[in-house]
Amino acid sequence: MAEESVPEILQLNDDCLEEIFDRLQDLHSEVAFSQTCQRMQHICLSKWRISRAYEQLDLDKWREMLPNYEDLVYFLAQMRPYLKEMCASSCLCALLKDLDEMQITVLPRVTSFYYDPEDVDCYPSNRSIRKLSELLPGLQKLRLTTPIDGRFLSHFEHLQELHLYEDQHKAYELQQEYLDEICQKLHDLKVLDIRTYDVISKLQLGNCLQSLRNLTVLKLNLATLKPVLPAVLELPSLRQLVVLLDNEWHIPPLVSPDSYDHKIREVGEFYDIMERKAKDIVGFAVDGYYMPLEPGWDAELPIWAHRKLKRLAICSWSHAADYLERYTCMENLRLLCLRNWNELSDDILLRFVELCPHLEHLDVSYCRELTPNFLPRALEILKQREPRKPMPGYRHTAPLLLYYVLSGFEDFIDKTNLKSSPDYRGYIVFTADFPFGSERGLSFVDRGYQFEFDCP
Amino acid sequence: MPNIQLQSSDGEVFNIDSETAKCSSTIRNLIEDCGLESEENPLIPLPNVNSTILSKVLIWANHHRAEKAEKTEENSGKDEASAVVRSSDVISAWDAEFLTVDQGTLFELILAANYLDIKELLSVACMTVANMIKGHTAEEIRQTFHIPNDFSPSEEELLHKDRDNEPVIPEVESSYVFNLNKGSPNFKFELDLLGNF
Repeated sequence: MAEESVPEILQLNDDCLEEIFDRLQDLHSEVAFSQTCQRMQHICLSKWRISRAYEQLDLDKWREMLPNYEDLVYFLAQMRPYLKEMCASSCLCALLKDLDEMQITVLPRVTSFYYDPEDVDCYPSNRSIRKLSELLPGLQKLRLTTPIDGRFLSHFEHLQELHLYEDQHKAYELQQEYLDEICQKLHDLKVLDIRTYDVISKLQLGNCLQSLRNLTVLKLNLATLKPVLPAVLELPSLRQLVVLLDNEWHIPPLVSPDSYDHKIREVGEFYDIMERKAKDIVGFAVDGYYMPLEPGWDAELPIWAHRKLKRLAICSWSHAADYLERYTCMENLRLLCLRNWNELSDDILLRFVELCPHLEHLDVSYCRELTPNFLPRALEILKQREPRKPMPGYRHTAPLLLYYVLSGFEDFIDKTNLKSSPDYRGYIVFTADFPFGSERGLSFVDRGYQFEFDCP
Repeated sequence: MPNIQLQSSDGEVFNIDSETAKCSSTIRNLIEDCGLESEENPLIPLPNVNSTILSKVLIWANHHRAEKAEKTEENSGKDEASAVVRSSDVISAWDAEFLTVDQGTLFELILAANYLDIKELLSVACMTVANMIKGHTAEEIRQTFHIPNDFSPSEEELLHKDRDNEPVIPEVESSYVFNLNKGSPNFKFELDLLGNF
């Protein structure tokens, strides 16, 4: 008779209860359902835990999903052990206080925190940073671009990535003593971004480098790099070095904007890296707007002997494009970015499509001189190379991703809806975006240069 | 094999045409995997479904087979799966009437649809239950379905945490205090920020 005492709904198996859950389709109802009994709570939690909608805690968004405070507190308490990512755009101090009130003191599995405040007047205090380190003891990736001096950042003991830079907006730096502390205490650190945009950086790495043996990505200002360049290049795990040219804008009031020299004439380190690491360089990117590059700048580069380039980005080039053809010898090119070239023609670009069979990303955003004729000609080359591509069951290479924002054929692609064209399917994918890992806008790497190394 | 026989858990045998029976993936797979296509009037036992529920399932299956035959002409070229998805988003008037039954029968239909793998029936029956839950509090849902509250007192407390009963937490210090780096060229800007507060 024990069977009779079990409510009929609880005689359903878990599959059936999950089917009912799937049809509730609003979080408030799901919360009420989970609060009825332990079994329903278990069912609901098992669905919430695997839902991508709740993978990342964004308290502002969750408040909108659950306007009832009790519901929100309950849902957070249930999800607390499973959250892996967290982001915030409101005041960090207020956020931490709210979590305190909800008795959320630790989020043990959160490994990533992205702080992108909308209110620029609310900067986190050191005490907030310390509280954050207690809240997120397992944090591995931290992005925090507001002005902080760096105290208590070393309390994130398992940190692997520290991103302190925001594109074109960073004007404050860590204090040197706290940068030293971060480098010396965070043994797992792999990615460090300490760039500063609006001032000449005063940070130094002299006391830090011997601790950064696991560093794979370093992003810094040239002023910081200069005194330690040889030591940086000897970091055993370094795969990517991104250098931001320092600049302080002191434009004299009477100068003409047309004749003002915006070039940052600091190229010594750039050529030094090319020389020292020639055999390991598999990628480089350079911003032609700020770098004083003239035709022939690359004629004697030591990388020609090795031909290992897989990623190449030369942006904002204002001279003739015919010299570019020398790079077609880099048969292993995977990514080619020629953003904002004044005189890039169809013919030169087609040479790359023809001679670089592994090309996967082609970024020609802002190249106004390209014409729609490039597209069928490029398609023809790709089809000759792999004629059977669209056929099912045929194992084929990835299509060419073509980034075309404000290029000479953008209008053509949009008007003829080439993105959906069956002719191009499998061969070219048109994308109105920028390649992953590149800066937005006119240059792959903003106001500086970037190197990628082949690291064993 | 135009007809097959389905035997319920209580021994009753139902004669049904095989195409209607194949709305159940379980039955379809059984027929195909056991080579019953070539048999004359094969008998398939269904030990998990009693005669009352099985007869209702067959009423539903017969109705929907006829309906699907009409829709096939309208939706030619579209696959069956998408047709199922579209029809389960909204409960048809016929299904709503069909599912106006006591809870016990409704849940048995859900279990039968799950066992027989009849996606559309499972979907509309579960949607019917979901509609009884939506917009209600936990206590109202318990009363509707006679669910006992089996949470312990401490767990019960967690269900109903609210702001008014929380202990007072000391104020966190102002967010606008941060160390000044007097050597920094931005010292003046930092002072301006503090001056605002």
